[in-house]
Amino acid sequence: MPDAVLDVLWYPLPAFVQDLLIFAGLLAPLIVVAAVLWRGFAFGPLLRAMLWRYRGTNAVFVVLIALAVGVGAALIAQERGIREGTARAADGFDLIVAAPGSEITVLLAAVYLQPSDVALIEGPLFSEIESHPRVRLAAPLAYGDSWEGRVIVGTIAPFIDHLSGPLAEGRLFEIPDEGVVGARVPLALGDEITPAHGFGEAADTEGHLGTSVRIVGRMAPTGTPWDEAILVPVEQVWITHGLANGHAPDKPLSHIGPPYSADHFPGTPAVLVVPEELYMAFSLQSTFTRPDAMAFLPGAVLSQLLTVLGDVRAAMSALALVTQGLVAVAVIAGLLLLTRLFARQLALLRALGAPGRFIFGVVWSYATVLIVVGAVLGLIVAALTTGAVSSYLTAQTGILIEARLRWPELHLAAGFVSAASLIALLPGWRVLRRNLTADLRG
Amino acid sequence: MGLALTLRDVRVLGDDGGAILSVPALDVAAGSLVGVRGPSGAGKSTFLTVLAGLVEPDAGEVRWGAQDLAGLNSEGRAAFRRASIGLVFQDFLLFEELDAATNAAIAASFVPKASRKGLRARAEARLERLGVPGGARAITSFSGGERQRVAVARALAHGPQVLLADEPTAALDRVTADALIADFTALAREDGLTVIIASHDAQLLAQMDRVISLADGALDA
Repeated sequence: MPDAVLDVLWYPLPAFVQDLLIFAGLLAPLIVVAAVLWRGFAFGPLLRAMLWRYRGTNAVFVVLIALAVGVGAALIAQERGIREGTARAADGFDLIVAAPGSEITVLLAAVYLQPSDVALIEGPLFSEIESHPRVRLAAPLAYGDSWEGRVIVGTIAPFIDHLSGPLAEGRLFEIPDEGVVGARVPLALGDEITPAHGFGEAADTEGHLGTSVRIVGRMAPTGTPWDEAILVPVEQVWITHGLANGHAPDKPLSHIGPPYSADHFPGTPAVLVVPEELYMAFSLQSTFTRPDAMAFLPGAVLSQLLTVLGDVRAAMSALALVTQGLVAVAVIAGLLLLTRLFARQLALLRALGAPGRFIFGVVWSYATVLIVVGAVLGLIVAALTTGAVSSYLTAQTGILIEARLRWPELHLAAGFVSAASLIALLPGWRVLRRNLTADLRG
Repeated sequence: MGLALTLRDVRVLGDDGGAILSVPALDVAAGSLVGVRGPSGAGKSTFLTVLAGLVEPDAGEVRWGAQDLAGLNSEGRAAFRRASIGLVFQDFLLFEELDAATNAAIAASFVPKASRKGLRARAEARLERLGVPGGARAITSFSGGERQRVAVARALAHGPQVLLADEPTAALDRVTADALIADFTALAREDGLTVIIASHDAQLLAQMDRVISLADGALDA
């Protein structure tokens, strides 16, 4: 369609209307065939009789169709849910500065809390970032410890406010031995924990004996892995590891947080940088991309990753379509065989004077009922599956995955139903070509 | 009122080119009851399928009243059956999943909407006249005689002028067959139908106005 026409007629339409029209357009072949074949006839009793007679076989056909549509729709919805969930998890992370290395490694560590060993940013660079006029917030993200599988991150109090807004309960930490937990951490205010050194099964639970962190606040839910994190003052991480506390030795530790002393800054794996204005992130990225530093926009790195995933998605979608096509062909082939079992009843109807269009319509309607019921069940299966898988992934990753069926899945199902219903014209055509008197004899 | 039947030089050829039905001339008066007898394989069923327009003869004229079936295509012949011909088969050919009333009124599925109500009413009336108990009962609970009565009600529900029956009593015991024959012939005479029945049943044939014979596809009037 010419762009000028699209500009006038299509693009101004609300997205909902566009989706609705696409849905209707995809179903149009089915509706047109139904309108032509059903006009003036009453198929109800016959269809019910035919469907009931071979209910077991029909149920198998419906299940096959439901699985084909369900798997296809679930794959698309799940992929989109993961994509949106991971993107949402990176929302608050405007710019990350780290020591030169792998952007993806730092992205996974700093945003998705999958820590690994990386080089540290040293004091002078941190001070330079912190004091840059275009930087509103420079938050060290220091990890190295954990508690019962949950990552302990050393940072500053303003980062917590930036990440989750006002706390759900309690207050921000004020001294090194206090911590704030994510929304889903099973600790209550006042609980005290001893950090384990390292992560996972390799964590050394006795490495920091004698160190204790008291929980004083709980973040509001963010739908990110940070809901499972324990945030402590970065000074606490440094002190626990026997390092300087980031401040000049002559200063009492009654004050935590910035500014830090460049000479006594032990280092941090990553720094979250929030610019004064969003557009400044690009110039800051340019400023801090240099031999001793690496700066990247998590959203851009994620976008590159999702581009790769997009190819996977296209392949999955193609596979889903091929699967649906094969199932449709298998079902229609089965129906061709099944109509032989109905041959005598259909011949009777022809003998009683039923028009060819009626016979054609009976067979087509029979097939289409199975296809439509299968597709609707498939969407229900997809909705239940994506709900269950999303809950599992959310529990496993901490990233809130909210995969729901949307228009693309409805379009997929509508396209499948229409295409399959067109193929379903074949059995009707075959029935009309059968020898009537031979079929009557049975 | 029934239709008169006129057959002239009707021939139906088999796959080998030989005639499986040959009727040089046959005239049946409107409203008469005609039996067709002959041994198995004599061509009785083929004869009925030609009269019903289910098989197009290779030659000749099949005329019901003023309507020459040779002048109709398959859809036209179907329309003629829909309007004018009732069919009864040896083994009933009912939809087991439907009740008696729905089976008897099955043609309501494909007749014009305006005719459906009348067709259903006639089907109910015929079932009642034929003594079929409980029109809404499942067909699976019916005896053979009851099933054939439902099939007869179905054949009459659309108000045909012609009734063609192929061995309607062959699957029934004697008592049931006799009862069906009595009701069947009475109904046909009440409605003035032209009836042609192919049968081996001497008791049934004895109720006919006229009996014709077929042997090796040839009519022996």
